[in-house]
Amino acid sequence: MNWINAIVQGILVGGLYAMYATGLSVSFGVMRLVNLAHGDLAVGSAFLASTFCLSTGLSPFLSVFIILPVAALFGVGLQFLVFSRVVGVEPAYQIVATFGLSIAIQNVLLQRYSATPRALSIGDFGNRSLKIIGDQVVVGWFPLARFLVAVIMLIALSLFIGRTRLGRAFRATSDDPETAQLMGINIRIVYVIAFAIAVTTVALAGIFNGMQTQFSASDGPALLIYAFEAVIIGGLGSLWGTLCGGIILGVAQTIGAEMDPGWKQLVGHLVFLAVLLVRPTGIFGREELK
Amino acid sequence: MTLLEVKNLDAGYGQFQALFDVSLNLKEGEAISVIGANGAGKSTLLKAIAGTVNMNSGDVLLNGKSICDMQPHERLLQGIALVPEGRRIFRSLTVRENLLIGGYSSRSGSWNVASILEAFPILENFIGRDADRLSGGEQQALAIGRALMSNPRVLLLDEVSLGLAPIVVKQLYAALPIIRNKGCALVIVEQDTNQALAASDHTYCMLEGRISLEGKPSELTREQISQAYFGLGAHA
Amino acid sequence: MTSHDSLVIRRNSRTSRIAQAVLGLVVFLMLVVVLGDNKAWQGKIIDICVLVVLATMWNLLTGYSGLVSIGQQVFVGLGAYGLIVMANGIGLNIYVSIIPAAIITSILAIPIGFIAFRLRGGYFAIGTWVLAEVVRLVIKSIRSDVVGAGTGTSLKVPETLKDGRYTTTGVVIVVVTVTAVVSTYVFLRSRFGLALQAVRDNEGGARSLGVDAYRVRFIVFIVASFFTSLAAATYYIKGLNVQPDAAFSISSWTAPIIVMVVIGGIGTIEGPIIGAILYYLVRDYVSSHEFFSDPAFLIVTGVVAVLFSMFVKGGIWGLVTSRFPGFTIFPVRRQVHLDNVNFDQRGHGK
Repeated sequence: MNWINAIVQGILVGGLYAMYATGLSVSFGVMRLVNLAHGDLAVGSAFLASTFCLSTGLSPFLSVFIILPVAALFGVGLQFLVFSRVVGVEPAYQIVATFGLSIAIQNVLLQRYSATPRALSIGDFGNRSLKIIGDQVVVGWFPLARFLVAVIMLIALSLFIGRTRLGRAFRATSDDPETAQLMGINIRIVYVIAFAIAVTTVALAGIFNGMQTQFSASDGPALLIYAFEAVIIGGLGSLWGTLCGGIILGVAQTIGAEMDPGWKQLVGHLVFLAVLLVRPTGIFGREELK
Repeated sequence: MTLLEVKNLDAGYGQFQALFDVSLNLKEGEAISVIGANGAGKSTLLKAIAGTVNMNSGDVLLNGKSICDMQPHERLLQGIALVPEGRRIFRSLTVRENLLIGGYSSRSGSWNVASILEAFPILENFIGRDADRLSGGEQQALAIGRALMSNPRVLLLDEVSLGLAPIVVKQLYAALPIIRNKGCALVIVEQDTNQALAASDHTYCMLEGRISLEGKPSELTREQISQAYFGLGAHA
Repeated sequence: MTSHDSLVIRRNSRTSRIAQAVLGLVVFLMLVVVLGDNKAWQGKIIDICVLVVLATMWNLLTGYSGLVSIGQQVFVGLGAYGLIVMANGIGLNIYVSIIPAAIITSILAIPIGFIAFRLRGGYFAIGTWVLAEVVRLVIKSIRSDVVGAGTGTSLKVPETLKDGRYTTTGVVIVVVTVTAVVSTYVFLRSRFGLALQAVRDNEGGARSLGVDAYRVRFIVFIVASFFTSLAAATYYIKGLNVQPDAAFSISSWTAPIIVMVVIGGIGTIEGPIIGAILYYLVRDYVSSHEFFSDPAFLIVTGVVAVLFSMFVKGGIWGLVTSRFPGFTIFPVRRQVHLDNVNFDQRGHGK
């Protein structure tokens, strides 16, 4: 058993999980919205990228520049048309709406693309790897690149939220939407932008995921769970906490897989449950779970 | 020159009506106070002017133009700023960031971070700190400063003295003339009448959602005021 | 007011009594069908009753306690496996087995609830799902012949019981359904039910009046797990085949249930019943006439759920009661009557 290699791979996949988790974190933080269709949006983006690449023959890396704006627009539409009507006192309607959306998206994908898994082809890049410690610890170039993209994305988002005027508005709205309005902030616009960011980041994650792994129409829920676990482990209200949460989850899963291939998800779940029991606010959590 | 006018306002929360036929008038450069017991509707009145409480009937006019269809953020852009009850400081922002967010709308005027620190020197020491570490009085100063950052024409102050020691309240009220001199009219809502009456040119007393008395503080007797405040005397 | 007018506080109105009588008639008819020998119809009654129980329980959690769970399938699966363990493993009579199966599930619901309750709102929802997944994965990895691991197993039915299986199962499920619905009704009318709804409507306020919000919700969670697993176990006496992925499936169980309750009307006792019957009939009709493929039907289902949660928040029953205010089959609220005058919500007498 190669534990060190497992840990390294786990860290790298953790970057991907953090990418998934970011959107969930942003939309919950700013507008208390938990989008159960989150994972399905990632899968949908991957399928769109696949269609794009197959019809244009371009590389999946380029498809990012087309699919991401489309995803953002879709997010804007969803927020305006659907989610703005289900915010409010009763969380039930929001959960039901996003759940219904999840079922609808999954089955649209199933209907259009059938249940056959597919992948985005990145050619030889997916096979090249870097030897770190002899033959024991080998790191693929692609997972490394993917991890880097995740970190860059988190840095960009962190700078946006921490240093810009609009980012400040996000934080104010997250603290107290009513008073934020009194500052002249149009919170409806804030919500739309926040959700667009959430959809864009998860689309990026979905496309990058599809570049090395096969994906299929019903993968969404599993991705939602990974995102959720990463957020809870890392702690609410902290972007870097989300990265740590993702890494911890990734490592737990790869270690679990080393012990027994069928245990990959289970070990991840157990670590999540352990954190939830011992430290419900998460390892770096700032907020309470309201 | 009438700056803000409230005409026959009925407002409330869902099926619960809190304001009945309330009318008042604020002139340029003026300071008016709205006093009354707990639950009289004073805060509701300010919130209705600011836009966070629904109006059922009546009107609110700024410079003769009706603003009753405007959202709160639009009213801020028109120059109406509310210092909310309970301060409502943004807890995950620093003191400086709270001030900056007050200036989100970039309305032009003479208020900026520097001039606010001049008016409220107590904030200078905490400028980089997280806002939730401030004491009550410091948070109140911050809340007022934050509202001023939008360079409002009308500043609505909701119970700034609540929960604060008298000496702190005095310091806060000492800043009001400075604010008036820079061209902002004030609506001061208070349960504590002394400071409010001393700081205003005209006062309205509220009782159970209605105006029970109005006049110049210098011309009203203590007896008149307490009758209107508590609803004793001629009122059944 | 004249001197002989008096204020009376009543729950049942004449219309609700009539509606209750009609419902009693429906139950009677169901029993008649179930005691007959039309297997197809017996099967339908069993399916509908199971869905009514599951929907009623989910609604009890969501509409009345404010706990939106998308992990109820865990209790379906545990009920199924409880049945297998009791009947196949220990050798109890298959019908008797459903009781211990439900009891064991309720006991397991305690740690499950304890963990889930660390979360709120949308995160609570996902948390219940994760827990369901954990249980599913654990059961899949149990290496025991009784449970059958990943491939699942079947209920062993002794020769003597083979003949009247559908009939007996039908009677059992009708009894379970009536018990579940009546219990819910009685529960909500009680002081406990009042506390529950107070917590749902205004937790802070309820707490300040001395209501232990956590305990109240937890008890409801356990009760829901009991009836859900009881109904599920009964279902598998008919279905026989228990597989972990199917028994713990969110799309086979929880998704339809959520849609049913949303369509019928969250937060009312009548809503889930109407929603369950309607959903079942539509799905049955659609699949037998092959109008839609399975995914297409689910797309419609999902969209309908979204639309209802946006525009018809009270569901079909909500529409009915807004058209006929005060009409209820299971009156939980008290109404103030002035002799023969009935006040509506705005205080206007009629």
